[in-house]
Amino acid sequence: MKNFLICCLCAAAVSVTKVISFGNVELLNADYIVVQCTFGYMEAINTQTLLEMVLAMFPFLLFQMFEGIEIYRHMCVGGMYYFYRCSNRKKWLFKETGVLAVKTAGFILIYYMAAVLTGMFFSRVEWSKAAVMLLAYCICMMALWLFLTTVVMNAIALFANSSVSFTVVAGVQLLFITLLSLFQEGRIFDIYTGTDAEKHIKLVKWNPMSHLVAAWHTGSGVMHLDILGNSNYGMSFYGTILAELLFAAFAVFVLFEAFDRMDLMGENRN
Amino acid sequence: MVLTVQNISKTIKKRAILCDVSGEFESGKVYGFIGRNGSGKTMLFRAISGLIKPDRGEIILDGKRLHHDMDVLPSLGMIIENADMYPGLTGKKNLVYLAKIKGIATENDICNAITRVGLDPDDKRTYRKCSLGMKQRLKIAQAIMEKPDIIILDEPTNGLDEDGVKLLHNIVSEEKKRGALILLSSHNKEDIEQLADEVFYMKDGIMKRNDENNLMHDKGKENK
Repeated sequence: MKNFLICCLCAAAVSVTKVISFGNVELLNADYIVVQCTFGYMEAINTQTLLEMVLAMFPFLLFQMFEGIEIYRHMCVGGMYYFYRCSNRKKWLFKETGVLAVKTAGFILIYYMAAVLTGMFFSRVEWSKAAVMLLAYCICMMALWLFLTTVVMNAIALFANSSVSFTVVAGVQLLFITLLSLFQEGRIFDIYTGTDAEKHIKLVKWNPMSHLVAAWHTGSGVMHLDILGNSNYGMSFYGTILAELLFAAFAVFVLFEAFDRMDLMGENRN
Repeated sequence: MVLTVQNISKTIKKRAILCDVSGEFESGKVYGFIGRNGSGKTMLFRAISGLIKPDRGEIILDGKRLHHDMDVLPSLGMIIENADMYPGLTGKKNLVYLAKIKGIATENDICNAITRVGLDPDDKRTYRKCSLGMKQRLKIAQAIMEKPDIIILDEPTNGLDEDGVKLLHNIVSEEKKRGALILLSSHNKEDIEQLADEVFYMKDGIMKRNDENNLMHDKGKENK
């Protein structure tokens, strides 16, 4: 619980800093705050925006580092004395996975709420129906992604160990952010100039990390928001959320299978 | 109550850890297991407790098969070599947390178990700050706090001083009198010879009743 609170505080600090960095603004649109907290506006892919994306990953990586071993850590210490008493280990895992889901949702809520409240403290925040919809989309999208990655981390840790699992999950995410740099102007998959720009733009959505940039999405109820102007990438909130939901369900299935097959040796592997 | 281990085998990373191990154990008796490091004693105990699944064979308690009719043995207390308790909790809090799973042991039972192993239930030190001997005593306390029908003690004398070993001998005798089935392993043959009603010898995953021949064989090797 202590680690979870540290993660929440860190997430709140990052989103508060983000909103403070807007400066003295009399009127703030709620949708602007939400988009800025969901990997920024990102009008163009360039080195600076990608670096900002990596920096914005910090609270999420911290959450993954702590919560991504929350289930696995029981296999290292204490758990052996727990498991020889536990008559239904699948029920235990189900409960632990549920707790992880609740923590993920709580963490994301705190992240956005801290930003919105800070905005309300320094400026007048204008809400619209579309802004509320956008906030709901972003909370679902970010929470599902975080849940999916932490479950995958726990599952990898069961096979390997916690260091390997964090390195793999964090490494893959950072690799996909780096791969987005190929879409910059003048690069191999230039999406701004040249005859193949339209063809290349379709490739952006095959990068999973691009599905976390709210500004590149569109969806019912938020279509008229100017801040979602980069929707020509062809990503929809519905599509992203559905895909995350399916992958998360698969990851939970893999976690249960891995747990069922593993031998509980009770030795601290890492 | 009869615990039957029937032809169990286990291979991990292409190495045979347990090879066709069989035995029958009755309540009210102490069974000793002797064998060198890596001989398969701990793996056998892990298999009996349900922590690992054997590749072949069955573990049967009064006709009920482990992993088929039950996930774990219903009334078991054990110490596992190399397995630690939760480092951030005090000794008592560790035991309270574990006792909640079954809900059998009351707070009084927990305090009694801690006192029986010569520790103070009100000690505020976290598990990580306890000495090796204190940690081992706490593990013994968690194994006996629920007054289980089966007690598995894997190297229980590890880290214990002379008083601790005497205390353990008393606890094993008392639990035997209570009617518990006790499986005990130790590097120390004296412990086993003093406490066990029957002795088994383990080598390379193979278990044999430790008859005179085996003892002679061992002694011969030691003399060499």
